[in-house]
Amino acid sequence: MITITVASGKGGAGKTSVSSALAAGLGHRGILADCDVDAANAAIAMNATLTSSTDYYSGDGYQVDAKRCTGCGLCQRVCRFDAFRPTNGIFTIDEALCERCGACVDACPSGAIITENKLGGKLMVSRSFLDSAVVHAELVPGEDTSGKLAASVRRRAEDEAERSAAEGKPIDAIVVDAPPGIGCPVIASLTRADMVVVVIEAGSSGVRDAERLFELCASMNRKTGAVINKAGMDPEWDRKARELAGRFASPVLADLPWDRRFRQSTERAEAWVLSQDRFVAESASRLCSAVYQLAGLPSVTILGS
Amino acid sequence: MTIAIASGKGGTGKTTLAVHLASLLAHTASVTLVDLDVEAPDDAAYFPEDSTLASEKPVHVMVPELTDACTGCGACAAVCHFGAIVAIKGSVGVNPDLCKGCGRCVSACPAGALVEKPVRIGMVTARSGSGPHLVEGRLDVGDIRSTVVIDAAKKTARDTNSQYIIRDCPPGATCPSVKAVHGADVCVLVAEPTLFSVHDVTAAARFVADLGIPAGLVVNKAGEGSADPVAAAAELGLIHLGSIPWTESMARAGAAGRRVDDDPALKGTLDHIMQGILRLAASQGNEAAS
Repeated sequence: MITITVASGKGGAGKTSVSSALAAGLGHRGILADCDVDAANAAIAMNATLTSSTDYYSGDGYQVDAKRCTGCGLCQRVCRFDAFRPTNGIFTIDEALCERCGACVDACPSGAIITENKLGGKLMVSRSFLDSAVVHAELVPGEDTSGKLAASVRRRAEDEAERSAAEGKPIDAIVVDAPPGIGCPVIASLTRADMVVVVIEAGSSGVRDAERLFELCASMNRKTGAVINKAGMDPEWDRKARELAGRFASPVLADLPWDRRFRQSTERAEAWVLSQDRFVAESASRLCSAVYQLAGLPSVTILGS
Repeated sequence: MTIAIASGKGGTGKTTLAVHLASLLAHTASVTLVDLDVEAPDDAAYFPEDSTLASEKPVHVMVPELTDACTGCGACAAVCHFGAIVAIKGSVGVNPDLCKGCGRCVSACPAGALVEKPVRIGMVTARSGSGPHLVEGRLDVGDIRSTVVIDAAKKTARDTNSQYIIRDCPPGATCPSVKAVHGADVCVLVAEPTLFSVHDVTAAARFVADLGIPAGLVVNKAGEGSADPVAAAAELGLIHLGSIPWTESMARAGAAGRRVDDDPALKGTLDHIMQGILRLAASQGNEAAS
């Protein structure tokens, strides 16, 4: 079994549509892991039904016990993130600024900082319309946890793959839908990837952001393949998208034009490969074949699987 | 007045709205546009004429280094919440990539063996020219400390003392987005009429409400999709500030990274959106005063 991570740098480039197509193309031999926990849409894209949900705790968070706080202000002095606010003679923590280091716990002479294991969100498994697993998460908005939760989604997908194999239904690949950007949760999504599909939106921002992602993949020694999406809007940036892939020795696996039929297919939650629209289905099938081939997967029956 | 432009889902049009609003306001007021999407900053490309570099400051985190005074007791590793210090059998190692620079280990060390040294994690640049001041935070590739760079860029933007500070925030609903929106007077959430966007703007609206910041909704690419962000926003108590229709010329300009300041329809919509933003800010001011 291998892991294929779909990432882009820029948001809205088409990661979820591409990763859903790749997972759907594998039928029940594919698992989709939605590591974009801030904006989790893969379960929607795969028209999936929730089968299990577990609370996810993100670790220590802090609060001030108003009864014990003497208002001495030592917490505020040691906090490097400016998270303490004087309020009516005592202190409170602005959770949006707290980085959860716990330096205040050591500094408080009256034991007024309460430590609690914070509920970060839910880790969920759903079954797609193809009866394949989709692992996803829902976080408590504002929680400081997307990197760790993304790693948990990936690990949970690996557990699902093992369980499925033990039941005599081996999995060929976990397809990871990565978040936008190049930061903490993206690195967590790339950690176990055997191959990265970089979706380049053919435009000024899309190419610039993909370049930073390619640099990240290179620094992590990841094999990459490129999917150019929404091409045909500006010839200069179409060309630059291809040049970028070439510069990082990344084969162009698909070159999809801007066409509202793709968006319409996504809205029908049918996963592009199985689209009722022939143009979308065929474009996506070619994309899947090219990705599977580069990933060394056996060629699979895509349509009607 | 600080206006944060955020979204939940990426690619809905935060940057499109931020650059055009900043450009429009700059005709009559001092404006700073600050790019807080530090993992994927793209604002500056929309202002090729404003390339005069005003300042360029590296962003640092203070990371501990071991000195010979280390006894290997492991007290530092025991307090570190970020997995940046490991102590095994009397031998201590620091991974500077994971350190958030909280300084807890330094205080915890009974031997005073940890000395802090600055480690670069990104860059904040400021440019100015005929349009808005442009401040950009840029995280170094491979680093995970986005929030520290966001903080530094926010501070640089504040120091410009412009009448309007427009923050182009990162997508999402966790730490970087929260950090970017925190402290703003008004938050504008940008959604597109797709199922994904409607789903994601809900999470974003919740964290903005938790921060106590008044928020409104702008629909971008209106007509290009069948979902209805306005109805979803109304349920969340968001005011609909305006809609920017999808047009092929806007889409082509966006792909080319080109502003369309002279588009009269867009200008009218932006004026309307700005009036709504001012009303939102004023209503919040009244609430605070009463």
